[in-house]
Amino acid sequence: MFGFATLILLLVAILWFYAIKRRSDDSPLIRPNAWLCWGGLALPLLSITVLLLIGIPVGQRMLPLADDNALKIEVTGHQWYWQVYYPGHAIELTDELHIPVNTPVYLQLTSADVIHSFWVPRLGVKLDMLPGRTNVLRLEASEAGIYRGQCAEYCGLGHAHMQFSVIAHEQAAFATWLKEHSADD
Amino acid sequence: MTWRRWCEPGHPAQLVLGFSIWSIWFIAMYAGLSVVCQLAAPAPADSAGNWLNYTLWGLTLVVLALLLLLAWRGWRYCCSGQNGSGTPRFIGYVSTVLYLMAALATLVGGLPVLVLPPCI
Amino acid sequence: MTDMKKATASAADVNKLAQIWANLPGWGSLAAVNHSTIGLRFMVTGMVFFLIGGVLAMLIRTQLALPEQSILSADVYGQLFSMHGSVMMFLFAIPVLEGLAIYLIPKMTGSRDLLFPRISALGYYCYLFGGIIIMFSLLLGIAPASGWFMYTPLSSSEFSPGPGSDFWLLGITFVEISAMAAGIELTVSILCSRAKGMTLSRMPLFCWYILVMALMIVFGFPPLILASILLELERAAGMPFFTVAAGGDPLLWQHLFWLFGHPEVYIIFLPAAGIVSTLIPVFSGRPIVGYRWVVIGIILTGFISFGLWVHHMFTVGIPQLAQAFFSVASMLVAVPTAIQVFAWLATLWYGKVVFRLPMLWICGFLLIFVCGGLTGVMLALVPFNWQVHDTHFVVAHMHYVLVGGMFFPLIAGLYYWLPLVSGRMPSEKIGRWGFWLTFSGFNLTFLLMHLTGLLGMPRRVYTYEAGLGWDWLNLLSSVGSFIMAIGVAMVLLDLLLHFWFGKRASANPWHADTLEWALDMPPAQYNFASLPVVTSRQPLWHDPTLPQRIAAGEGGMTDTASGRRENWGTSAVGARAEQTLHLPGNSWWPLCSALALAVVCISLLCRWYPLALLAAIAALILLLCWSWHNGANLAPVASAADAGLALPLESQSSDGPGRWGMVVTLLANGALFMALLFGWFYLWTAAPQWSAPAEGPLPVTLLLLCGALATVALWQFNRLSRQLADGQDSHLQRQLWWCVLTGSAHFILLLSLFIMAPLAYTSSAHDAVIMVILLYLLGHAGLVVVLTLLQALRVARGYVSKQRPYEPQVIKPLWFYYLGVYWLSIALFFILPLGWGPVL
Repeated sequence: MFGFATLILLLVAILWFYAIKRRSDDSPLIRPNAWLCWGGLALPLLSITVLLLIGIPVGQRMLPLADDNALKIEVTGHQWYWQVYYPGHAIELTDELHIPVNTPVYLQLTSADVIHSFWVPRLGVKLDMLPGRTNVLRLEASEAGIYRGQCAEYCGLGHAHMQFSVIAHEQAAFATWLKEHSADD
Repeated sequence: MTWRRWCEPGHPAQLVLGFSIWSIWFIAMYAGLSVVCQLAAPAPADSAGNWLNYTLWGLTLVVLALLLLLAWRGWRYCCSGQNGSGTPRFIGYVSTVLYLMAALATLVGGLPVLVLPPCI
Repeated sequence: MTDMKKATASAADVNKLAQIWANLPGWGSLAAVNHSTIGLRFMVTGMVFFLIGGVLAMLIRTQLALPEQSILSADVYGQLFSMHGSVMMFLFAIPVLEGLAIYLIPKMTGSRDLLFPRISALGYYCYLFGGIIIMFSLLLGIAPASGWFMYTPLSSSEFSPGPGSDFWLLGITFVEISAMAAGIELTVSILCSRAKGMTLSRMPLFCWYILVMALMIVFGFPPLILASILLELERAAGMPFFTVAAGGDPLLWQHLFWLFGHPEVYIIFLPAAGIVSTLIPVFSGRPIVGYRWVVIGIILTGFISFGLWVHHMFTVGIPQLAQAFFSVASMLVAVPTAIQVFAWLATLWYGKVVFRLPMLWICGFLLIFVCGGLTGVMLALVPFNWQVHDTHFVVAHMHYVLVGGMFFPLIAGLYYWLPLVSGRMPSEKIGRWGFWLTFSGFNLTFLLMHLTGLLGMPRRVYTYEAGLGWDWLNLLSSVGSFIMAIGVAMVLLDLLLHFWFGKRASANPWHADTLEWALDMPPAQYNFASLPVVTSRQPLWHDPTLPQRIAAGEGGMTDTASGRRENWGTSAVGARAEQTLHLPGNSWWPLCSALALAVVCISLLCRWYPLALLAAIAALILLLCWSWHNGANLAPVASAADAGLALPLESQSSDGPGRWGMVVTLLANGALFMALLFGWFYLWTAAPQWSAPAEGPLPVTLLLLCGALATVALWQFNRLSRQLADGQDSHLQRQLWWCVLTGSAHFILLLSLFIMAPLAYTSSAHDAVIMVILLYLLGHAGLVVVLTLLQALRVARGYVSKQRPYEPQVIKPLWFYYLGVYWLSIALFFILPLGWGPVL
């Protein structure tokens, strides 16, 4: 996408500067309307079609379609911390989210005060947390590790420091983690 | 009657009519979708094949046909020649292209209805 | 040229003209209403606010230059970025472009002034006072700190208890009066007073751009005005429109805000593109390629830009299909832009390009804007948007579009029209330095910021940790921003210095084609000594002697016998001269009204409600007095034949610019009503905890009775105004009094219904909305009755009669509007819910 955009930018820029530098001729090769039809209509329409053909299926794959077996976790935004709750296991965490790898996790996002936005840059997902509503986000990590998460919607003084970490465990390790921590309660 | 003059192909109202129709279509699609999703959401399992998507697609086709008809009328007006060269012809030309563009915007805007499930 | 003028035109006539159009001397210039004066004041004030906004940006970049700096606290940083956005958008970009349009439009369309000169003065004062009030909050350290987008609940009284949000809501709404005023006035002026023969298809492209921009203001600003009023009501009176627990919804704010916010971007871009479309043909020495296509592109932009507001809200959890509609519309907006870019390209291609300073800025514009447009198309793609939304990638995109799409063309335009204002040429040398510094500084700052965003740096953070890979990018961005600041300072210095040191400009120095270059440099207050007649799209290229002939008095309206400011009123499409318009001269009403409104604004801020009420009443009285002295008609004017005019006066016909002004105002009003309607249905269907009482708050039968009274009043008014247009005024005054009587009965009944209604407006969003709609109806009912009453009085004084049937025709649309809105409200707010309630 970036390559294509750069190409168009270069194309327009080169044409533009050539158009300024060139001497005008009396018998133009290209008719005026051709400029408008090809550049003004065909080019953007073609680009849009390509983008949509790629984009809409990608968006569709990211949909949180109903799946009863998926792991559900409730995340609530507060000024300025994240409260994480694992229903059924009675685990409550702050600013920390443990998930298994290669498993879609359904996060139920909501807020207790102002609007926050849940974002893990390297996992490529972002969804707002609104008071009074629950948005469902599908999160999936393909590698174990620690991912940095950050509030993306301005939420007041502590916004810059409203961070959290997502810890992705191998599936077996996650099961152990889950068992250990639910046992505590 | 003023309103009848407004409907003639050379009247400046034609410049905005095409996209006004598009706007109404756009609002109807968005509002219809949102309201139905609140009141009687079709099952998400059906994906794009449910009555709501079909209705929205039907609406899109009707609006598309209307816009194309208006574009055709404007085109004939431009071609008929006896309207001289002046401003009415200019308006006829511009509004014809705008009708076509509105038809295109309607078509492209309506296509996702065929692919995406409505309420999630 | 001047010799020629002296030789042929009578010097006495020109002197008389200058005298009629002059501003008052000294402090009296505060009463000036002339469009040249007001336009320049707008632009200068806008540039001052630009400098203030720029300083805020410098502070922001200083703080972010290095990780973990503590030059600014989180609180101050919040105030700074909120104010930077608000100042640049509302106090710089829109007013400066409005100022440019106010200054240029009459000159380009061959008329002597805008049609509602006092409205432009009112707009200017509202802008100035509003801007000062907002700036004051920054001085006191209590500026709004919830972002320029003011998302609630963060901006609500619970999470922002200080007066910061109030400053934004009240101050910006006050400033918006000026945008609305300019929008209405420019629309009507472009449509109703062009040079004879300047048909729609011969209008300069700049006028098309401004026409569409003005109409976009008319439809785009009301949603924001409504949203600001609702949020202020929530903060001040506790009406819970955006509070979930009471049945409101914070998302409603976002919808209303972006319903304005996205068209706003194009409101800024269109005039700037208009500058480009004006300059490129001039420097290519040939007419633009595809005039019709550019017009198509402009209209297309105007419409489509209203269909993409939700792309600012892709991450709030809206169904994907709905997102897809907006995603497609967001991409489609690339089509009109591409049409324009290629029309410019083709014009350059076929022309012989003269590369002067303004062209340099145009080239800078092209590179930056196309880049911004391409990242914009990417952002329209929903999955990509999810990743980069609210990161520095968006900051970079937005600055590419706004600085590239607005600031660069604006500077090009300033350099281009400078000789017209001052009669001197700018320096090419300092100008080039200024350009290259600005251009390279800008790209260093914002090109890198794309990368910062992709690496995961969110927006609006006042500091960040070291070692995340953002450090060097931020440092370079900050360095770039300082280079850009030096460049901008150089440009402004150049613009300023040239007034003293610039070379004298020759007549029409750029060999331009449009009418403003037929004027003296600097232009006289009356613009044209005689009004030109236009026969082509490029009047000055077609007829190089036109300036001399205008100065020699060979055009129209050379007679100064009436002693009034005169102009032609022309038909909207064919530009045939149909009327003589008497335009108002210097007036104190705008300043006084704006002062009263400023007192309202300040006393609301300080929560001195009795004073606010008093000032509001004073403002209303002042505005009504203003309307009493309408036009230049301090006394009834003699008939056209008596005054020796070939064309009838506006007051002697039944249609004219005043009526157009009323209709356009009602369109804006209608947009506000539609936004309210949208809010009502939105809350009804989407608010998580909406609750409506089982029974309506008001008895429907009484509402119907009340409506019947209003219908009778409308019928009376319609009948009398139609009879008047047909030349009968036998019982005019009595009929008007009857109409006032019926209207008052309606008003009183509605008022008593309102007082008796059991509305729990602080605990239920439903009741709060009902309260707002009732207040809206009451306000309109009161206004229309008072205006009818004034008509009755004016009949008694002889201002309205069968020779002067105009004024009731102006008020008639308001009656129709009110009645339409009344019945619609009764149906949708009171009757529909009765049948709908059980379903939900």
